[in-house]
Amino acid sequence: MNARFELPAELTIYAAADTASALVAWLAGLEASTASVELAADQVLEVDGAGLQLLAALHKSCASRSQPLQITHATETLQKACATLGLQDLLKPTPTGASA
Amino acid sequence: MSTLSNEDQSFILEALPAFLSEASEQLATVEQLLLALEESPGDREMLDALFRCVHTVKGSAGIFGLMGVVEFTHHVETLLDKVREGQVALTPSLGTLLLESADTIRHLIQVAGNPALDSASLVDEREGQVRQLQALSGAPSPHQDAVPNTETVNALDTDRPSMWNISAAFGSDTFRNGMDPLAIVAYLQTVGSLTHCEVQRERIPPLESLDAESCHLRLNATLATEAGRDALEAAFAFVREDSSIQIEPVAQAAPLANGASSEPQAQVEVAAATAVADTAAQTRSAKPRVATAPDDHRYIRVQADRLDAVINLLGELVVASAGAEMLARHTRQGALIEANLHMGRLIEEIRNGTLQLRMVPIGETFGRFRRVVRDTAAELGKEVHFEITGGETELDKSVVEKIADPLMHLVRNALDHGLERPDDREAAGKPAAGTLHLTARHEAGSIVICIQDDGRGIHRQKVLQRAWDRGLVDRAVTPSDAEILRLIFEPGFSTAEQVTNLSGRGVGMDVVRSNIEALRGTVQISSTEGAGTLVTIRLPLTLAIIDGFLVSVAHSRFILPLESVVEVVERRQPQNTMDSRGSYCVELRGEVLPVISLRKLYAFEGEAPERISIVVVNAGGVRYAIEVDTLLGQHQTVIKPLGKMFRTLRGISGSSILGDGEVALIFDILSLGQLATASPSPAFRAPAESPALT
Repeated sequence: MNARFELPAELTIYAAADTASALVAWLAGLEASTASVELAADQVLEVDGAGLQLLAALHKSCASRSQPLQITHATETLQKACATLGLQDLLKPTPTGASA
Repeated sequence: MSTLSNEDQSFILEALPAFLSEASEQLATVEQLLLALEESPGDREMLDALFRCVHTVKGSAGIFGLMGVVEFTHHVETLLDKVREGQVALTPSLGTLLLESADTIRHLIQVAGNPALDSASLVDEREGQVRQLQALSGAPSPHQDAVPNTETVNALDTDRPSMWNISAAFGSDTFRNGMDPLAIVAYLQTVGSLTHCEVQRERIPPLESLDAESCHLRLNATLATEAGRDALEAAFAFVREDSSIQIEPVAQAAPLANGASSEPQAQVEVAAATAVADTAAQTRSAKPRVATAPDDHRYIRVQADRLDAVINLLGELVVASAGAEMLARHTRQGALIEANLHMGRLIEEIRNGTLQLRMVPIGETFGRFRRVVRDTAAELGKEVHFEITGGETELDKSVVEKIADPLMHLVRNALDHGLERPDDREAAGKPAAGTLHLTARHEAGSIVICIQDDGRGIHRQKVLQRAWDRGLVDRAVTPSDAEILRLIFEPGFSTAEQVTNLSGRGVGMDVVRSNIEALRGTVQISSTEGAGTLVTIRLPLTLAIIDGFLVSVAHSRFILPLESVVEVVERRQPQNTMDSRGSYCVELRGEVLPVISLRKLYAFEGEAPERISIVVVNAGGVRYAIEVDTLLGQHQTVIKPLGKMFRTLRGISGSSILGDGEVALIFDILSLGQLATASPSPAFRAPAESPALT
């Protein structure tokens, strides 16, 4: 089974706390059988360091529980931001059982 | 300058005083930074701040056409640039040269307005300094001295390195402060070409334990750019304060890597240390203040006399308002009384706010002592750790100004007479370096400043011997230990024979005491032989206005500082058991409390009323009570000093004019307390002496 989370338009410090708690709740609610987790990023219009930090933290959490994660449909803004900080690999799908 | 229009010249004339005061502040900061750097050489932030200060002085001097200042400062600036680039090591001797250079700049600024003050010997001295500065900035660092490596030096001198390694550990509040590392990196991309950028992912916690608003980002980046270090540092200007930023040229040639081999490690250590020391530094207030002062633009400069004028007017307003309120009470019109009370409250708020404006942290004054301690210790051949605590404690500017000299004297005294030479200390089983600790804190409406050393302490027998010799004490009398220590502050105790050129300066400890007492303060000394001396100075926060508690005895009115009043108890019959000076004791909830009767003490005529009140006050930890006839309530008190004739009055610190034009005397709770608690006046004191030192 697959699960999907919609990232908000504003992936910045202003929404970071809310998004983080929503993601934590969402991850906690996932069934153990969830095959892969998809983060839809097609809405993301604004990104800042806090937003990227959030994605990196999510990545780490998924990796530690061996939960495959994929960020899909990343907008140009998000792609550019990841490239700036050298975090392009956040946008690549993590293989099953990957570790950070 | 000659090409300037009249308008420009008049503008410059107007702005010159502001430049002079700013330059002297910058130079004071330079001095503090240099001293702080002695403790942590290589602290990049401080080196940068140092460079900025000198640069600012040079820049503004240029605007005012003070070419002498510009020329000399330029040499200092060049050398400092080398120091912060790591090409010249900041050795203690270099620190001394730079401190002297700062003095020279200060002197040059002074003589700019009055060339007559300059002398040939100073010119020679200056030239010598310039030669030294030039020699140092031209020469490679001492490390490279051993193995001359002209290639490296030339490479650094002529071409700026085009590759930079940047490592940035952003402070956790970076996001909350509205800063964005992403934007900073994006900016760096416009400055040059970012060949590499990497976030230390292991530093970011997993989502479950992430505080999404705290910044955990640490970056390592490599940037190729023609722009210099300044441009790169500018990118981090807004996050510099709570982040650890390092910008290093990439080693391109093998010899450089060799020469600088010990450096990267040192820098890593510094970075780690700053992160850890962040909280520790908060407690050591002097240091962060120094670092932030030059960047702090959130202040408005106000001329002190304008502020004083406002405070004076405010004093009059307080008196006038008290008068209006009293008149309103007489009319018995509720609305009028109400309106007056409201006005009175507002005035009180304005009063508090305005007095707050005069409050300045004492740290700046303390900071000035660093230089004194350093130079004095060097001169005396002593080693001293000088520590400052509580530099952020605020008190009235005029108090700060007036306390600086007595404090300086006490600090010098501690260095000169208190601390022993390193070999003596070691012989006594103490560490070779002595400790001198200066602290300030607020305590019950006053400020307490302590000067503590771990030196040899005060030899009581010697003090007593001297007091006997000078006839300060009758030979038949052996005073208590505390009284012996107080003798040090007696006029005529310290003499030219005893003082050195350091602590002497023609000022005895009695002058220190009277200066402090003139500020309505007190000074206490305690000492353990062989273990050190502690001098405690207690000062009022402000000299101008206090919250008073108005009481009356017979037809006279008195004011007690409200903050010292603990409680008020009503009693029926005045005691008959009081001594000749009007003191007796009462029992209050099981505690025996000394009481002083003002009626008896000041010999008021007339019978005491049937019911009297005793006001319990707290005087620096000692509680006692004052017997009065009537309580009149809280009163905003504008303090007027007493005339010369009344200075010797015991227990009175000043006077105030009441709303109806009458004068009320203000009690000095501490010395009044001594009257209440002291044993009958000690025989060894001269009769004309004012209240005992406390």
